[in-house]
Amino acid sequence: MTLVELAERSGVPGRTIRFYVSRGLLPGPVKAGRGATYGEEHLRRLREIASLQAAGLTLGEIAGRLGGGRDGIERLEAAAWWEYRVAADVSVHVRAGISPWRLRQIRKHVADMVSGLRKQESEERS
Amino acid sequence: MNDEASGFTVLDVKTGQAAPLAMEGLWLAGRVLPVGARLLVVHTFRSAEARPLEVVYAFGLPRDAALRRFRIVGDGFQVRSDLRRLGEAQAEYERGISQGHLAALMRTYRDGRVNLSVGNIRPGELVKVYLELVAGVDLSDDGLRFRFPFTLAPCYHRGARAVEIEPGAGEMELPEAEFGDLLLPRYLTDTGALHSVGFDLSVGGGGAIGAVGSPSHALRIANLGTDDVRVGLSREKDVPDRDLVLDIRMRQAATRFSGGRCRDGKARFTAVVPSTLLGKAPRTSKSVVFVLDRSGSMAGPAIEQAKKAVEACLGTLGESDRFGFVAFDDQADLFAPSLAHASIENRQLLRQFLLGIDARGGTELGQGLREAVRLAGADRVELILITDGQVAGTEDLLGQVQAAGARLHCLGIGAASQDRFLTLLARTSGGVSRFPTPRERVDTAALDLFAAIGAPVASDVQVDFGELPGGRGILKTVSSVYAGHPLVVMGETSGEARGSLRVTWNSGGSAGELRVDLQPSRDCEAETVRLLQGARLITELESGVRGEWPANPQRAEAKREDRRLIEKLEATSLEYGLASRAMALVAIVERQGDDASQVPTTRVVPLGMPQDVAFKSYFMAASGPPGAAGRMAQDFALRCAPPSHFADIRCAFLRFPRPGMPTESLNTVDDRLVDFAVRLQPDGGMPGQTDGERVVRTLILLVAFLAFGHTSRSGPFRLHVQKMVSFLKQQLPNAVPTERREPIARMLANVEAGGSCTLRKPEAALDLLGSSRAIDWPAWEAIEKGIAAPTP
Repeated sequence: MTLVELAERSGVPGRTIRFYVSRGLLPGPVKAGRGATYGEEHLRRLREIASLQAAGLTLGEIAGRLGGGRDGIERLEAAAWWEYRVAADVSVHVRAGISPWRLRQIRKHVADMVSGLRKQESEERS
Repeated sequence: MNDEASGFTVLDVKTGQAAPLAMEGLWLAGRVLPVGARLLVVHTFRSAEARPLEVVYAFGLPRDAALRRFRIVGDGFQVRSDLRRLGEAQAEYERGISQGHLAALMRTYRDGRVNLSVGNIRPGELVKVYLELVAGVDLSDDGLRFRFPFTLAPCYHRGARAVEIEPGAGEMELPEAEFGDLLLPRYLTDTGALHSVGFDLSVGGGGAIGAVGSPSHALRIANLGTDDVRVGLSREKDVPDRDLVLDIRMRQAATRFSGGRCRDGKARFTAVVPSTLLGKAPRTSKSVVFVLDRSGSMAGPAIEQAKKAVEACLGTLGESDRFGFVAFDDQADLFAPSLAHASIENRQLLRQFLLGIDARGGTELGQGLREAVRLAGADRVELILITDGQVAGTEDLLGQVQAAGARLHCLGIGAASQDRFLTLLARTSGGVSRFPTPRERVDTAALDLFAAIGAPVASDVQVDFGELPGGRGILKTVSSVYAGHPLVVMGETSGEARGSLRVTWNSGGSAGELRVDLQPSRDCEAETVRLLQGARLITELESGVRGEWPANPQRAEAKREDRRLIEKLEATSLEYGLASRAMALVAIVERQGDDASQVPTTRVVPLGMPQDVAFKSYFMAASGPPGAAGRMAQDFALRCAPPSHFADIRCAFLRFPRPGMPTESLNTVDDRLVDFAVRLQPDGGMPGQTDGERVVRTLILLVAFLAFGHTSRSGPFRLHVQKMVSFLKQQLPNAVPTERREPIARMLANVEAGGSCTLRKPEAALDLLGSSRAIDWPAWEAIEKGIAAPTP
């Protein structure tokens, strides 16, 4: 299929497909030239990328998972993270976008940890 | 390209090799009028690739801006863009690319973000894109602030994916369901390897210019006459890590006009009427809620100054005034569940509360606003939002504020503040906004905004166009005018721009009326004024379009509303010849030797992190091995949290170095003035052991404020000056010795009339107030001797 047909079938715009090819997320066309064609493999890969994105992975991470990225990039797990300064020099990072009940639970445990930290610090001082 | 020495380069993610930059430079030219700017932005692209190149440059629109058209120019060709419906433009661009032609597409997305794509640039080829656009300005009674984004700030969104891909380089992606195929730049902390930026603008057309300055860039200024100034970058080039900000002050705060007769025979005009012509704001009791953004991107001096500003604003309130305070990041914290009286006790409690407020987490602005609206209840309460506005999906927030019916005033801070969004936010709710940059003080800007918003100078404002032939307003005029913020009227007539507008309003129960004569206009400005009116209409329509149309089929009602707005946008775009979210600009250049055999390599132009934004507030690196503290904390966490939660806690409990930005006060004069302003009591006097000492301390502080240029009518501390005068007048009969009453009364009368005074060694007065020893009348005598003759 042509790039236009691939874009139509996958719902991914043509420019985005070219961007993915340039980033190494997607192989180039099967046949180059005026009749550049893309196959079912491209379609499958585009769907895979979409589902990994929905799971919170960035394109760099996806490139790593799909085998096209450099070492060091593919191992990143982060999506968006919130940073909480729990002590003068200690930070806690919590994944953004998690459900409110889960966030509440995590907050509670972090609070427990903070009080534990404070207790330990005061013990060290004394 | 910027070729300054740098230890940093841009790497290709796939190969790890240095990636050739596709954009060499961005140059801004054009003319800034009293009501807006007509701009030409020159983008220079050069391919250093061995195969065809598709380059994508992402930028943000300034406030009230719209894209007019572009020309794509190269060796032996020059082609103008067409304005097409979005789907058609995209299809045309894809057709051009697939056939091997040089193609360019300029498309606007949510939040006024734009992608300029230029595809099939040949190896080694240089291509320039000349973009014409119009943009609004931040108007004040006696001038304007012009702002143009040279970088696009990262932003908070619940569904954003952001990661540090290598040291000092971050990538951010926004959810497709809302933002379509928008590509954001890679953000670099080291800007040395990026493209260069520069500008050369003419300013004028609105009367005699008093001063031109910039808090963001060093300027080269040439006077072309009393009414015209040419402003350029003083150095040869700069880097894209902050907005360009220009401040233009007129010699007089008089009504300013722009406009004239357009080619269709109609006249278009914009009139800017200073608030001072509509009267003075009455002193009424105030109810305010401060809404402070404490998200990670506010870290550093911004949040510290913002906290101080809140305290200093409270220093202007009396016992009968009420206040609330909400700090938000991904959750909202309230000072109190209901509005509190501005007593000295409550202010001290707030000070304690503020000590616990630091910058952290995301920017759930909607949640902060919801809490503030709830706190305000049914009362008419002024909400003051202090934020950098770096959020995505702002159209949803605008809808929320509109539905709540609250009046919101915005103080937008940052090197790349979202002033387009914050202007809309304030305007949508009938409030006003101000935008200091990181090189200016947040606290004094907040005080200035606070001084303006007590009560409107005029409410129920109506503009009658009846005396103009075929006269009508282009946009709904605001219903309330605040001190320092002028009334802006956009209109048209069927003939020449001659005649009068009749403005009526209500001020403190009495009616006011003003006739504004349209002045002889310049036809050369008429087309610009017409385009600015169109851009304003488009911006307001776009602010209502929510999702990525026609995405998200589940939201049938939202989709129907979006479709209706998109149809209106299409019609408005066509009427004014301006692009919008419904209409894009596209150009195809067919040339000899076009080769369709290769798919171009797509590259996104990287940008600099805004200079005041902490990289780590958006982008997190992969975690390294935990240190001893980390291991200790992880041990705690393992005992505290079930393992299932560990997918959601990351880099947990690693020790980070303390932030490098100084948060302590630098103890400048302004810092000291803010410190003293915070200490003013609800009755307007300084604290002291006796009534006499309170009067003496207040007198000394008053002359210090005057000596530093803050009078009862001007300067960010004007409310404090007014309050001190009021306190001293009350104390005059009892707490002031008889022989001193007359000269002090004379001085107070002069200050009330807006007068000032000069003081020898004013810092010494502040030193005296800062000492802990008791102060009595002899101390005032010493200060009094240093006062030069008061200036009216």
